[in-house]
Order: sequence, then C-alpha cells, then structure tokens
Amino acid sequence: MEKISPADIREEIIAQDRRRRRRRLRWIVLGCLALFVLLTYLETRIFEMGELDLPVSGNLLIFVMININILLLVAVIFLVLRNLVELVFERRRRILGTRLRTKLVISFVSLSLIPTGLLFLLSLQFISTSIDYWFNINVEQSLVESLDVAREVYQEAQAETIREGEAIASQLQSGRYRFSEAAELEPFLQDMLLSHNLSGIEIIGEERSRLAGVYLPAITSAGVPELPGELLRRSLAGESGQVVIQEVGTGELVRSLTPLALPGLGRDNAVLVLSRLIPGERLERMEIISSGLEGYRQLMMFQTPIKTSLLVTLLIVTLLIVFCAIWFGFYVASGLTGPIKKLAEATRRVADGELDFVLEKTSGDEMGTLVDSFNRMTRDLLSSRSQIEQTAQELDRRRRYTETILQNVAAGVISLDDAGRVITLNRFAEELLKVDREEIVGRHYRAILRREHLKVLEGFLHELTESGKNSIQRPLRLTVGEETFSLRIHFTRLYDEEGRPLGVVLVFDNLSELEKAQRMAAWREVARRIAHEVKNPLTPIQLSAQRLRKKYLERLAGEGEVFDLCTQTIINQVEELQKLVGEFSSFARMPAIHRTFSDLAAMVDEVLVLYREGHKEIKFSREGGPVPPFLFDPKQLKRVLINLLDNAVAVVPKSDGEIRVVLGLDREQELALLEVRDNGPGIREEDKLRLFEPYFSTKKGGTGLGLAIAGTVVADHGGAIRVRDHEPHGACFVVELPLARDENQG
Amino acid sequence: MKFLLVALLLVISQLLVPSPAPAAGDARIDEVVVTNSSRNVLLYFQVRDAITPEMEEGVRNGLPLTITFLVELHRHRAGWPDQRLVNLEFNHRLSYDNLKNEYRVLREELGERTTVTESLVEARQLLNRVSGLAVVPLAELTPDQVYTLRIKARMGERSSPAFFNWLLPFRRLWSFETEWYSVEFRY
Repeated sequence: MEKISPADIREEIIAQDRRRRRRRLRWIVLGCLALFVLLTYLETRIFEMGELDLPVSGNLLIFVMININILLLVAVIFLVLRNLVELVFERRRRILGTRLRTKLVISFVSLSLIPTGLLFLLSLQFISTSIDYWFNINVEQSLVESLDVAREVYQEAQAETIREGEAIASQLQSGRYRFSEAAELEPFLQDMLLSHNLSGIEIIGEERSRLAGVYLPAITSAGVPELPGELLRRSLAGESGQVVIQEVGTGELVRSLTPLALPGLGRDNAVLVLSRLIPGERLERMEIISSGLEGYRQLMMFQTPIKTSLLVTLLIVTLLIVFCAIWFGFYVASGLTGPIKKLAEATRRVADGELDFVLEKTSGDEMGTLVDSFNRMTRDLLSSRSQIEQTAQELDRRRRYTETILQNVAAGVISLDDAGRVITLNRFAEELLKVDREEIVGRHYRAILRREHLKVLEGFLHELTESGKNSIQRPLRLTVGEETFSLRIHFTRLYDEEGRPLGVVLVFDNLSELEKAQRMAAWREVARRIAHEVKNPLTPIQLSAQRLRKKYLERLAGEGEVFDLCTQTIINQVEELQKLVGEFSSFARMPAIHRTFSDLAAMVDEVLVLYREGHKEIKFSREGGPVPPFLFDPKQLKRVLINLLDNAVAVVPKSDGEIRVVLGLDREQELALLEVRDNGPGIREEDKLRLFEPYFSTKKGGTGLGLAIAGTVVADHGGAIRVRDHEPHGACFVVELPLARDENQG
Repeated sequence: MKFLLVALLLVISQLLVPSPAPAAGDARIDEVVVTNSSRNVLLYFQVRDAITPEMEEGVRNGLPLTITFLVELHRHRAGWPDQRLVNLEFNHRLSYDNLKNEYRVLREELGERTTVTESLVEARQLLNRVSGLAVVPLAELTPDQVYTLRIKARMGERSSPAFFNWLLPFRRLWSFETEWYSVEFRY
C-alpha cells in the first residue's frame, strides 16, 4: 500500500495550482493580443471612414481605443515581466528545469532582440533623416514659388481686367463712337468681348440697372453672379480699380469695375464691368498647388511631434515583438521543460521507493516515448519488488516457524559460528543455563564461560577434531547455580552445501528427571523385593526366638543370662528389621495423593507443636506467609515436613539448635514455598545430587528413604524439592508447590 | 529589472497622458450684452484669449478653425428645476485662401453666408464675436419672470484634419473650452 505523506499532497496541490495559473495566464496573454489586433483594426477602419457622426466624437473614440490598446500592451508586458521575475526566483531556489528555461528564454530574447534592435535603430535613423529630408527648405521654396505663380494668375487676371476695362472705357468716352441708344452698344461690346478674349462685358447705369452687356453663352447659362453692392456703389462714386472674383459654374470670374461716363446716352455715371473667366481646370491645378504647400506647412508645423509619435509607435511595436518573443520563449521552454521536470520528479519518487504511479503522457513525440518507457520501467520494477517482497515474506515466515520450533523444542540448542561466537540459544537452553540470551548471542564462548565449563567445551571441541567425526555424543553432569543437571550432549560440526565450515551446534537433553525417575523406580522395585523376601522369614525368626526364650530360659538357670541376651538381641534386631522392612514396604507402595483445599501454615503449626514438645532444647519457629489455602494432600505433605524436620533435628547442635520453617509465595510462577532451614553443618556439594535418592543417607542409622519419599510426594504434587546452603551455615530444603492444580498431575 | 520596469512605466505614462495642447487656457466669454429689439431678445458677446499665434499659423497653413457656440436660455421656477426654453448651437469657421490671400469666415447663425476679408484682425474679430443673435422671440417670454442666459464656446476636435490622427495618435491638436457664462435678467 502506497503511503502518501501530507507534504506530498501539499506539493501536488501547489504544482496543480501553478499549472492552472500558467494556463490562465497563457489565455489572458492570447486574449490581450487578439484584442490588441482587433482594436487596431477598428481604429484603422475608423480612420479610413473619416469623421463619423458618432455619439462621441471620432477622435475621442480613437483616443480611447489607443489607450485601451496601450493598456493591453502594458498587461502583456506585465505578465511577461512577472514570468521573468518568477523565473529568476525559481532559478535562485534551484527548481528543476529553470536552467533550461532560462537558456531557452535567453536564446529567444537574443534571437529577437538583436534583429529587432538593429531594425529599430535603423528605422530610427531612417525616420529622422527622412523627416529632415522631407522638410528640406528647398522643397518649401519650390512650393512657395509654385504658389506665387498660381497667385500671379489671379493677380495678372485682375490687373489685366482692370487695364482692359480702363482702355475700353476710354474708347467709349473718346467720342470716336457715338451711341444714341443703349442698344447700339451691344455690337461694340460684342467686338470688345471677342477682341479682348473676355468672358463678359456689360455697362451698368447709376440706377444699378444693366444698360447693355454681352456674356459668353457658357456664363449666361451658368448664371451671371450679382455684383457686390458696395463695390458697385464705390465705382459709381467714381472709384476706379475695383475688382472682384466670383464663382460661376465653370470656374471663377475676375470682374473689374471701371467708372464710365456716356454723355451721348445721357449717362454721366455708369460702370463698365469686364468679366474674365478662369476655367475650373486651371483653378483645380492652382488649388492643388495651394493644398500641397498647405499640407507641407502643416507637416512642418508638427514636424517634431510627428517624429516623436512615429518613434513611440516604433518603440511600441519593437517592445511588442520583443515581449512576444520572450513569451514564445516561455511557451516553448515550458513545452520542453515541463515533461522533463515531470520525469525528473518521477525519477526522484522512484528513487524514494514509490513505484505505484503512472506518468501522464502529454505528447506523441520522443518525449512521449520516453514517458512510455519510464512507465514500463516503473511497472516492471513494481512487479519485481512485489515478487521479492512475497519471497521475503515466505522466507521470513519459514524462519519464524523454524525459530518457533527451535524455541519450543524440549532440548537445549546452542550454535556457534566458525569463529566461536554464539549465534543461536533457544529458550530451553536459556532457562536451563539461567542466562540471558541478549547478553550471550553474538559473544565469543570464551568470554562467557567459566573456567570449568570452558574446559569441558574445549575438551569436546578437541575430541571432535581429534576423532575426525562430524558429531559426538557425551553425557555430562553440570551444576548451574544450586542445581545439578544430568545432560546428554550432542556435539555436531556444521558445513554448508559447498563444504565450508559454518561452526558447531550443541544439542543437549536434560536427563536429570528421567534418571531420577528411573532410579526411583529401580529403588522401589528393590525395596519391594527386599520387603517381600526379608519380611517373610522375619516373623518365623522372631517367633522362634520368642519360643526358644519361653521354653529354655527357665531351664538354663545358670547359663540363662547369655541365652536371654542372645534371644533378646535376636528379637530386638528382628523388630528393627521389621521396622526397616516396613519402611521399605511403604516406600514401595507410595499411596496416591488426595488433594483438598488446605491451609499450609496450619499444617506446619500442627507438626511444629509435636516437635517443640519432643525437642525442647531446639528452637522451632515459623516465619513468612500468609499462604492462601490451595489444593494439596495435607497427610502426605505432613510426612514430607516430618522427614525434613527429622533430618534437621538430627544435625543441629544440641545446645543452640535452631530450625526455621519459612513459608512464602512466588506470585510470578504461582508457587507456594516451604523452606526448612537449620543451623547444622550443611550438605556437602557431592551429596546434593544424590540426596533425594533412596538408600542414600548421611545419618547414622538412617534408612535413606526419608528424603526419597519426600521428593516423591512433592513430585506427585507437581512441585520440586531442592537443597541449598543456609548462611552462615546449615542447610535449607526448599519445597515448591504449585498453587493452581495441574490436571496432568496425579 | 527594476530600472527597466520604472523606465517602461514612465514611457507608458507619457503615452497615456495626452500632450498638453497648445491651446489658450484662459479663453473666456466677454462683453456680453443682452438686449431686445422690438421682436426678439438679442445677444452680443465675444470670446477672448482663444486664438493663439500657433492657431493663426495653422489657419494660414490651411488648418481651419471652428468655434462652437452654445447658448441656452432658462426660465426660473420657484421650487422646480429651471425650464430650458432655448438651446442653440452654432459654429464660426475661419479658413484662409492661400491663392487669393484672403480669410473667410462662415457664421452659421447668419445663414450660409461667408464673409471674406484680407485682414487677419478683422477675420479674428468675426470669428470671436457674435452680434445680434436672436435668442428668442419676446412673445415667448412671460413678463416679470427671471431668466438666465448661459453661454459657452469651445473649439472641438474637428478643427484638426483626420490624417493627423494617424501621424499624431498620442497628441491632441489645439482645443479650448470656456466656462459657462451666465447672465440673469428679468423681463
């Protein structure tokens, strides 16, 4: 089961959030650029349409749009700068992939900045020189000259019309022509019109009415414009040189007003009006000249702002290109570094032991193939690891099984490696040898064993080496603390499959109880036979001795003393023998125990009362307790206590003999303890092992059955009896009785 | 990086804030006279300090000047917002004919008639001055009422030709706008 730490979850959330933000940012930038293009297009359209009658004025609209465009540009620049700053910080934090991203961004910026910068500088120079060249003073001079030429057309037309007007007026006033009626003027005027290449000629009287006049048909059809009243008034007042330019359909009329006197017609105040047409085509050409100069001067007027505006526009476009390049660099870099970063992170996870994940494939190119291969690799690794884990679990299970068997086997097992260090020590060995496995395992046997035990072990090793066998078996009697065990040791040399030595293994069985039981059984059999064989002849012997005594004691009056002594001795010895046989018999026929809930202390007190009465010179005491009532056979245990007290009474000094019966509890092992301590000479070490065997006695006149019976009774209760030395001197017999009844025991 | 950012912001701020137009900042309505003929309420006024030498140069270079005049007449009503009786908007347009070397002033309140003069001073006076504007017939006024006449003049964006917006996208040409000038009278 894969474990996910909170830190991993947090990192994953942060990474997801970052990815989401980048995606959003990309859309914002694209949206801004699209809007930028759209607004620029709209602005162009509005300019092309000229001035529109919009609710807000066209210029304001354009101004707003331009500002929005700039704001969008600023937004793009801000986002790009933010990305750059982010890149710098990530690089400082040494986040994976930033180096590659930096390189790519720098490459793109260099690739775009150098040509764009060069182009910008060239354009800058070009615009400056071009504008300066456009506004060259020569150009303006040419245009001014052209305008002067155009103006001269008007001026000449005006001057000529005035002059001609004055010439015709003088002709009319010279007296060469005599007109009696106004109608007679028409042919003259017609001649003048043609001869002077005029467009119209007319005479206006002082009442401002037309006296005579002719106009070209084109002028007549277009409508002759009315003369300004002020000019007419001045001319009628005699002011000469009046001229006016008036529009007609086909062009403009240059009209001069010349004061005139026609005495023949009775008109002293009249005005001669000459009209000369400047055709529309010529006017247009003149207008073009004028417009050219005006346009040029307007541009010149705004030369500096125009230059600045162009430069600003150029700068904006350059910046746009640069930032777009940076952005594109980011985009390409993220496209490359993203999968690499993912792969690197995935590799780290694999290195950390996490295999249960699949890397998302985002493209079908080589990067995708790499991701596929990576996923296959993690899958294979996961499968292999799973197999190894299963094998390891199986091995572990087997090892634990073997270990359990080893721990629970009813034999001691100790293994040493080839160097002599303890490798294995099972529970049986641990309990029997009363050692702590933690302290033993891993240490050299020489550092652990005492001298006598070391001697034994090295003897075995030597024997094993000398014999050339792989395994030897020897009995061993071993004293551990206060107990002596009879062991059978199997000493085996271990080799691996290739025959290299692995060390040795000691397997030992505790035969102490078995031996004891066998000896006990043998002794019971001996006792039964002795009792059986000896008891039968004893009664006839006793009866015979008693009969002899009865029949011949009185007859042998003089020598009867010897007879009496001999027969009495026979009878006494036979009685002794009968007692002995009785003991043997009772030992052979040990009755089955009958457990009842009884009070151990009460039983002890009851026995001690008798002994205190019988042996007043010895101090008896009971200590310890209390022991709760538990199941035991009080009669049999009383017998055990009596045997132990008898032995104690026999060995304590006569003057200050002291016997203490101590009761206790071993709550850990659930045992009731009964100890009989004396201040006698104690038990010799060599006697301790055989002390509970039948017919072993250190007492003069002892049958050697008391402790054997006591041991049997205690063993029948499922307990144990042992002996240890009592400080400062004396012996201490310890009886351990289980508090809980073991159903397997009788 | 910080320097670059600051520099960029400075450039942007220069772009966003329109360059101050070379317009007269003190243009005002002056010499206002409200009188009446036998039939109408007549208004006389002129704009002062509106035309700068640069504008005049622009006119001579073929850039016409257009001043828009706004005239409103309100009648006071106690406890109520004033009632607007008249809302007039008309232009004065000054242009220059380079060929004929003459100024033309079109005054819309007088119809489509163009006044031609060779004198810039006269042309400027014609452009700035409104004379005898018939605001409202007397018949439409209620006696013993208080009226407010409000006048304003401004030079709009249309004074500049469209192509300049291409060349000068970040700069407004000359313009001005006077404060509202109010005259209160009782009829």
